[in-house]
Amino acid sequence: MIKNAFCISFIILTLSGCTDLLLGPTPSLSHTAIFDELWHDFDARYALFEVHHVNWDSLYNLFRPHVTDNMADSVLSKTIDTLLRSLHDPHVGFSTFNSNYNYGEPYLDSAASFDFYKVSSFYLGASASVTGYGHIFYGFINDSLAYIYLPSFDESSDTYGWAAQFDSVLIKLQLAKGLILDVRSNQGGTQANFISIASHFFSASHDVMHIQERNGPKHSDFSSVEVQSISPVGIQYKKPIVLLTDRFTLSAAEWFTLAMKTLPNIVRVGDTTSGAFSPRLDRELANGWIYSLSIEKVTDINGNSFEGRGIPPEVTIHLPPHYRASFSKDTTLDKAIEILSK
Amino acid sequence: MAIERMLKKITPIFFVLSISIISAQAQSIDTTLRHRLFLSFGFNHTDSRDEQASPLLYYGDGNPLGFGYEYRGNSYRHSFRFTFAISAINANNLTPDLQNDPFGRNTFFGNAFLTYSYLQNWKDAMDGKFHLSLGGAFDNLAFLRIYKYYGDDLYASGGAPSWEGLSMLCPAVCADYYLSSNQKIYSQLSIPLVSLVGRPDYNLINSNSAFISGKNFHMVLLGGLVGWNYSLAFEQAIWDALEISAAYNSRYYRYSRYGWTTSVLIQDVTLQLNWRFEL
Repeated sequence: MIKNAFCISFIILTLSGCTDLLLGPTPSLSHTAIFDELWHDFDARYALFEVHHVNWDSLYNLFRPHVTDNMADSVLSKTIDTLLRSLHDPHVGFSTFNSNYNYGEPYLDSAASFDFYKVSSFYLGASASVTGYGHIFYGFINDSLAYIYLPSFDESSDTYGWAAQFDSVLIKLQLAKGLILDVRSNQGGTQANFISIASHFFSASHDVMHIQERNGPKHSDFSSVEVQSISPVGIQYKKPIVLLTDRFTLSAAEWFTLAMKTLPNIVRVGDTTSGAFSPRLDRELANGWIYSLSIEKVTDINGNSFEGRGIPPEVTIHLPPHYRASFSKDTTLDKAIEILSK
Repeated sequence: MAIERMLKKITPIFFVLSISIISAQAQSIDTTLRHRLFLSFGFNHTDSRDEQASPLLYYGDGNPLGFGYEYRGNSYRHSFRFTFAISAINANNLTPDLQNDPFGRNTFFGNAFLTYSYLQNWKDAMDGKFHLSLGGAFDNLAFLRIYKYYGDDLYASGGAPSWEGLSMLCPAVCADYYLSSNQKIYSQLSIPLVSLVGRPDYNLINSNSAFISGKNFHMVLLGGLVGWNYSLAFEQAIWDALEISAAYNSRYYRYSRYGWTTSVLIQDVTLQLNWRFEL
């Protein structure tokens, strides 16, 4: 009996020892190790140091001496927050178990987020409709002007395939002489959905943007240029369009704006977009904290980067932070109506 | 804990096997029926530390399904085997810090294996009860991992998806020991000598990358990739056309790129039904 127990214990101990040997040791959870892990991961993967003119090594030298293993979790998280804030990148995020930190400074220079309720109530009225599992709002401003609002390009298992319903919306709006396409406060989503929607506005295959991935240890290591093209799919809309953007138009919605910018029948009205073009990659630290970083450089087809500064509109309607429009008035939408009514 | 869970899960397999053995008629393991199609199912346990995605060790259970074809000649055998498993593996059980994870992390692992092996009888011993065979295996593996740190489902943007594909040329050795005319155990080991490792070269894949491109593949020699594919199985002939076997399989591989190491250990216990026939 004792012999058997000894044998079983020996086998179990041998197998548990093997886990570390085969799968690597459990990473250190010390504060210095966590800080170093995060710093090194950004150093190895982050794509926009040069775009944002950040000297990452000097930031390490500035912050690392203040990190100690016996500092409070909250002090470590605040130190990391301050480090990441210097990147000025809305696609960089950081979450501890108690706090979320985001770095979308462009939001601060503009009025609060767009309110679709106002458009629905005072511009679309009874024609206001929704489809695509709540992803496509549409209606008529008047007999000749159609309106579509896309609040997001994201999806979930409940809303998967929503973009395929864009065809039916265009059929219903086909009698309109012009279309207002609204991506204000659209926080982005998947590449597939942005392409799916944009493909209804292109009558031939068209290159719309260039992409390069960070692919080496140096901050300047990037892959060769990948060209993103859009080909026509489904019902096509070729009449005049006004595209509305604001400072909260972000990520995939900015790719959409970049793509639509290449069309001849479009006027862009509103405010400069947020300026976060790189896809975001989520990561986790050994202690379970989560962070995200930008891993690509995205430019227009002429190589112009709008990262960090956003795509400016052709007709600017800037709403300052404390701007208060009248209860029933949407200044940006009014400008779009004026342009399309000429 | 992992061992306890594994033991609980394999109990039904041994129950089915025991019933089969008891009800078995005196049929021979060695038969003139040279072709066999087989179907396998069971349980697996995966441990994966993929530093390109996370410093944490992810582990969990899945249910592998497999099928294949084997041809057994007088002194050689050809075998094709395909198995796959989809597992939801979560780090919540890993450390106390993550027990009350407020993010609701979701992680989806899927892996598939396609293996061809050829074995030639080399030596017999113990009055023909023991056979040692040598040969080689062409072992292919695909592993998809999707980390959704904020609890999003598979279709939402964000998270960190990644894939790896391995094609490995391996020398193989197999030992068969006949317990009786209708029972045998065999053990097979193959170790990759030359491997083609497919992995997004520096970053994880994201929505803008081509999912798979040639630049993601690298040739790696023994040492660059360390691994094994090991099986220990018990075979029982039930009828002339039907054979049943229970097997323990262990697969391991480890390689590094740019200082990030990927280590995976997959252990499974399966029950396999073999249909033996002649064309």
